[in-house]
Amino acid sequence: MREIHRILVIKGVYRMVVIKAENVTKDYALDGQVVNALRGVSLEFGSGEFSAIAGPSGSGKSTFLHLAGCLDTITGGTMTVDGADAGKMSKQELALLRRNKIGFIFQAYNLIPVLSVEENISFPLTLLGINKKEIKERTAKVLKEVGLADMAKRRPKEMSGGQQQRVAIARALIKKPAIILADEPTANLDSTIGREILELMVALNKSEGTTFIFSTHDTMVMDYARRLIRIRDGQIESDVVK
Amino acid sequence: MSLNGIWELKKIALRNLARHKVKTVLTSAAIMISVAVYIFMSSWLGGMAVESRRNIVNYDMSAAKLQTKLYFERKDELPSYENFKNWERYRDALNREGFNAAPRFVFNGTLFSNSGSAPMRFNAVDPAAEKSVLHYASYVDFGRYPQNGMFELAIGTTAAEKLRVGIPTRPRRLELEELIRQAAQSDTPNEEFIRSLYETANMSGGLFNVAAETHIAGNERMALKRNVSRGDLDRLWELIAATDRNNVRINAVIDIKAVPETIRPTLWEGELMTSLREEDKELVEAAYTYEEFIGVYLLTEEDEARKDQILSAMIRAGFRGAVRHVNQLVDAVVVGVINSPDPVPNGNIGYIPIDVLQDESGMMLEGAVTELLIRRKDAPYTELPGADESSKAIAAALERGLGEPLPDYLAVFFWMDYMKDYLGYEALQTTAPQVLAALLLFISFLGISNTILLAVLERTKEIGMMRALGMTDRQMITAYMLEAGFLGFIGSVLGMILGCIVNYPMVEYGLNISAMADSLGNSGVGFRVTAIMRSVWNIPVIFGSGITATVLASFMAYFPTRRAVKMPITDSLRFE
Ligand SMILES: Nc1ncnc2c1ncn2[C@@H]1O[C@H](COP(=O)(O)OP(=O)(O)OP(=O)(O)O)[C@@H](O)[C@H]1O
Ligand SMILES: [Mg+2]
Repeated sequence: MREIHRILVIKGVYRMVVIKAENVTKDYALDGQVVNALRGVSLEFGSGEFSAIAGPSGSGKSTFLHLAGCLDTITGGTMTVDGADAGKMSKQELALLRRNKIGFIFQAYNLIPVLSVEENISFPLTLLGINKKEIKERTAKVLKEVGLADMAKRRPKEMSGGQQQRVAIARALIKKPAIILADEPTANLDSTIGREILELMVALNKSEGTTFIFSTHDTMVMDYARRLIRIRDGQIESDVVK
Repeated sequence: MSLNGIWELKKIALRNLARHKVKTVLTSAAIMISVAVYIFMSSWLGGMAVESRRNIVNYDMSAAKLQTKLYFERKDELPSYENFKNWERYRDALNREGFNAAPRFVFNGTLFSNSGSAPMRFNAVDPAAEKSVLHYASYVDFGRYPQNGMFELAIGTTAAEKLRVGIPTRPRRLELEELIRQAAQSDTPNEEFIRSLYETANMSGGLFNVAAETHIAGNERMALKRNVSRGDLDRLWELIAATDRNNVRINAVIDIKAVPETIRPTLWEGELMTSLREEDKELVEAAYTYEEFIGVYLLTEEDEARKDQILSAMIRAGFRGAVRHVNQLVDAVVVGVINSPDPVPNGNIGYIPIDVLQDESGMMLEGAVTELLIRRKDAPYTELPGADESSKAIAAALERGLGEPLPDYLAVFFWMDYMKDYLGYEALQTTAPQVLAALLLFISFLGISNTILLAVLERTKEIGMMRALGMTDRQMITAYMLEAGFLGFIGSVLGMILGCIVNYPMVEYGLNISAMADSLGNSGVGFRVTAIMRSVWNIPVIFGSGITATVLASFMAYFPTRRAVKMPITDSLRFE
C-alpha cells in the first residue's frame, strides 16, 4: 500500500511529499441535492511546509482539510497521506493513521470538557499507549512551549478562547505528527492573540519541522504563510510559493 | 487497545458521570430500586417455596417412604394392592438406627355423612407413630386425634365443611338454628351458649361483597367468632358430638395382594403355570398340593417369608388370582377436624387408626401396609431433610438395622421423588412474579438506555473530536459501555445493599400472615391462615441480580454508541 515517497523541490529545498491529492472531488448530498464541494483538486504538500488555503466562505477549504486528514471519504480521485492511499484503508486503519500522523486544530477548539488542560493535551499520547512517565515529561514540555505551564490543572471552560486554542495546538503537537491541519485556527480570536498563536506555530514549524496547512479568510494568516493556495467553488485558483 | 487506553477511558467515563450528577443519581436510583425489588421479591418467593416444602415434609410426606417399587411406579393411582407385610421388622430396624417410622395403608373411598358424601383419600395410621414423623396432629382445630382401637376419624377442614361434620364455621342462619335445636336439646343455657359463639358474618369488611345474599330471610351467613376460647370450642364439640352429626360411613374397595388359599386347576394349568418364570415354578409348585377330593390346589406353605416370595413370583407373572378385592362399609365417628399450614391434611382426607381395619369388621388389611413414613428421630421442624435423611442414607441405615439387604421389591423413596410435579408447579408459580420484577428491571434499563442515548447525542461533537484524534470505534463503544456499566454498577451495589436491608427483617422476623388475614375482617378468607411468612437469603440471586444489572446496563450503551460512530466524523464535528 505504501508507495515510495515522492520528493518535491520547492524554492530549492527538497521536501518529502506528505499529502498528495490527485483530482479529488467531494460531493455532499443535501436535502436531495448534490453539492459539489470539491471539483477536482490536485495538490501536493511537502514536509515542513507552512501553507495556507484561502477562499471565500463555502469554497471548500474545510472540506479539503477534512479529506486530507482522513476524517471523511473522498468521492473521486485519490488522496495519499503519508504515502498511503486513504481511499483503500479500513475505518480502523484510518483511525490509526490519524492517531499516528495527523494533528488537528479547529476553529471551535473542540477540547474534551471533562478533562483538565494537561489531560486534554496528553490524550493523544494515551491513545498511542505511551507510558505515564514519558507522557508527563512531554506534556510538561509542550505546556511550556505554548505558555500554559501554570494552567495545567484547569478545565477548558475556565479559560479564554486564546488559551483554549493554545491547548488545542499543544494537543495537536504533542505527538509530533507529520502534519498539522488547522481549520481557521484564529477565526475566533482577536488579532493580537491570533498573532501570538501564529508566532507559536511558526516557531514550532521551524524547531520541529512540522508540516502546517491552514485554511483561513484572515489576511494576517495569509501573510504568515509561506505558500498561499487560493480556492474558489471547489477548484484551485492559484498556488503561490513566496 | 492498551491497558493505558482503557484506564483513560475509565477516567473519562467517571468524569462524565460526575459532570451529569442529577442524571447519574436518578438513573442509578432507578437501577437501585429495581435491583432491590428484584432481590426482595426473589427472597420472598424463595421463602414461600421453602415454607411450602417444609409444610409438605412436616405435614404430609415426612422425609422418605419405604414402599414397594411397583407402588411408586403407579403412585398417582394409589395402588393399594401394591402393599407389603412384615413391616414391623423394618420399623424396628429403623428405630434402632435412629429413625422413626410410621406405617400407613392408603386407600381411596367415599365418606358419607348425614348431609352428603365426598370422595376421600383415607390414611389408615398408627396414631402414635404418625405423630412421631408428622406434625399435622397438633393442628386438630376442633376435637382431637383418633385413638387406637376405635373407629374414629380425623378429617380435613374442607371435607368437614362439605360434609357438614363437626363445628360449622360459616353456617347459614337456618342451618345454625337446626344445629342448635339438635345439639342443645331444648336446654336454654346450652342454646344461649351456642348462639353466643356466632355472629352475623361481617360482609362489608371482607374481601368480597356478598351482601346480596342477606336479603333472603334465614339465608344470612353466620360466622363463628374469632376469639372463642379453646374451652368453649371443646364444649361446643361435645354438644355436637352427642348428636349424630359426626357419624359417618366409609365405603371403600381395597385390592390386596395375597397368595391365594386355593387355585382351580383350570387357572393353575391355563394361566399360572404358563406365565410363571422358570425359576419361580418350583417354588410355587412346592407350596401347593392338589386336593383330589375338592378338586383344587391348596396352599400348604406356612412360612410368611416364603409366602412373600411366592406372591412376588405370581405378581411378576401377572397372575390375576393373586389380588383380593375387599368391598367394605365401615361406620366411624369424626372426632377431629384438621386445619394445618399445609393444604393436604386439610383437604378431602381422613385419618383412621390402622388397627381397627385389620379383620372383617374393618378392611381385612391383615397386617399389610402401603408405606412406611420415615423421619430422623430428632429431625428439626424448621429444616428440610438433608443428606442424612436421603433415600440412600435411610436405605443404608435400614439395611444396617436389618443386618441384611432390603428385599428387592421394596425401596426407600425421598420426599422429593414424589414431588416432581409439585416442584414443577412451584417453579411455574414463582416465575410470574419474577417476570414482573424482571419487567421492572427492564424499565429501569430503558432509563439507562435513554440516559446514554441523550449523553451520546449531547456529546456528538466530543465523540467526533475523539475520533479525529485517532480513537477507534471499538474504543469509543468501550468507553460508553464503561460509563453505562459504572452507572449500572453504582445502582446495583446500592440496590444490593438496599435489597439486603429490606430483606433482613423479612428473614429474621417474617410477616405474620394470620394477623394480616384478621385485619381483613373475618369474612373473605374462607380458611384459617396460620403461617408466618419468612424470606430466605438467596446469595446467588443477590449477586446475580447485581452482576446482571451491571452487565445489562453496560450493554445498553452499545447501540447508541455504535450509531454515533457510524456517522462521518465531519458530520459529528458540525453537529450543534
Ligand atoms: N457535511 C456536509 N453536508 C452537506 N454539505 C456540506 C457539508 N460540508 C460542507 N458542505 C458544503 O460544501 C461546500 C464547501 O463547504 P466547506 O465547509 O468546505 O467551505 P469552507 O470553504 O470551509 O467555508 P467557510 O469559510 O464558511 O468555513 C459548502 O457549499 C457547504 O455547504
Ligand atoms: Mg470552513
